[in-house]
Amino acid sequence: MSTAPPTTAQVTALNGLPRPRSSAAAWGKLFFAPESARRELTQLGPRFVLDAPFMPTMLWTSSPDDVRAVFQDKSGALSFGTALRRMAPHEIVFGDRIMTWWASDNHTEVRRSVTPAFMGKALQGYRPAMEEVATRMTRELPTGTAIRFHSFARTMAREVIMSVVFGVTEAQRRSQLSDSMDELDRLIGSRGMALRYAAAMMSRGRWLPFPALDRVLDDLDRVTHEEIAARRAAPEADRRDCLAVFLKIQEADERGLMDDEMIAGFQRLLLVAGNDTTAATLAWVVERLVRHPQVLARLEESVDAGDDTYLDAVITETLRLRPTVPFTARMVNRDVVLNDIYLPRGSMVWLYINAIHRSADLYEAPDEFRPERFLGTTPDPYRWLPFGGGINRCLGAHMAQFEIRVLLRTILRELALVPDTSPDETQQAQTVLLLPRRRATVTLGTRMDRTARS
Amino acid sequence: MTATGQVTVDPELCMASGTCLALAPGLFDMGDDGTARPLPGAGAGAGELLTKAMTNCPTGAIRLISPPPT
Repeated sequence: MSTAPPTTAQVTALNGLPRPRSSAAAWGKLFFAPESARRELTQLGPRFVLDAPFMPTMLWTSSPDDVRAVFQDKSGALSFGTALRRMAPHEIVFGDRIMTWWASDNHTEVRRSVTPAFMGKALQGYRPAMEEVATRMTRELPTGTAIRFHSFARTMAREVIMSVVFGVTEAQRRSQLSDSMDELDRLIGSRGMALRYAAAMMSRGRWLPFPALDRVLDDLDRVTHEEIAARRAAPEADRRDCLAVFLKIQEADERGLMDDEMIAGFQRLLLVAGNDTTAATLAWVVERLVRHPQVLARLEESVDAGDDTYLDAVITETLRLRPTVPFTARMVNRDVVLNDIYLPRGSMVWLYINAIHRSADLYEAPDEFRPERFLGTTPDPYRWLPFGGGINRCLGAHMAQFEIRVLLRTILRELALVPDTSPDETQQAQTVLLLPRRRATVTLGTRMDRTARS
Repeated sequence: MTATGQVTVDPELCMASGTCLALAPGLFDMGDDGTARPLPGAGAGAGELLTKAMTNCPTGAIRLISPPPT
């Protein structure tokens, strides 16, 4: 045996870790067959390596220790912004300015300045508008016939964005906003987008321009700028929407971090990041509830009693079992040792959320829907990470959970969900989101049906 | 021996990740602006939970200031 170089600590190179037989096949499955990917890849252990076509070498991990190391990283060696630029169309959807900010040194500073818009007092201010949307829309729903709850949830989340984020009430501006949102939806799901996705993957992260998308984004920004101008011309003290909070932050901000352009960028960010994710989770909650009549009964009872504790546990458990975003990634900017793994510059770390949340080492009966497991406890940030974590934790996490809570509570007060014995809906990937395959097909009943059931 | 002291959260560093609230719910609270605030008594007989919150804070905003020896 040849003499090995002396080592001071046990450091493993990526090529010492298990790999699936075909990285390319596994890579495809992770996106297009998420459930079988999880079943197969977790057989390799909590860490495995993928070398997929056009991709840097990727470490995939479902170890909470690795999650902690990634979220705690203070060295700057691991970059979320760079990973996003490489993997997601954020640059063309959110604009270069937002992306530059994301990967920059003043990320934390700007983030801190906008945080109040997504927390405590501001959220309470958004509540009446959220309740109004949910009540109005729920009353229009048909009962006694099967509906795809996901499409209802999408429309509802979208109304919330219009009223709570943009706060647009003037008829013409509202219709402009609505048209732009339709057009944005269409373009994001278009062949042109798919083509750019494929080109970006093959060119290792270069996104081709998308003029049609630029035009819609300009239209959206115009709505924001017009709304800002209208409010400056006729200030109303009692406005309680995100735009009002952003404008207050701008007024108090002496460093000029939040100019009107940045506000428009954030509005767009909220629109794109907050709409489909929220709708998907709402759909999953309903899909889980109708298949668990005992959970549903307990939830209805607690909501009627005005207690949100169980509702929160239901939402937390749904986000564990059916996270809408199944993984998050960091790009390795310089050679670094993560716990005991040597990661060379240019490689990537992927936190396999969908596997972590279902690990039998981390959760008892991990495949079962048991909201009780989260009663009286706060989820461990390294085992429950539907919103990512560390300095890049989803800025809208609190707002999303608040919105889901308000909307569900309102729906449960207005209607009854009819229990369903059909098989669970499986996770189906649509772009990066995991949706219920039949889009949460459920039958709704009236409150009278609920009384009849019990 | 357990250290006792005053817990501070540097408002310039805290970026509202919520990590400390999740790891040490009895010790921290969230302000209206989302930043963490130590609850009264957070530093008394500072134990495992506080250490956990301090070491896990992604920006290192939590500090334990020991009182000067009397």
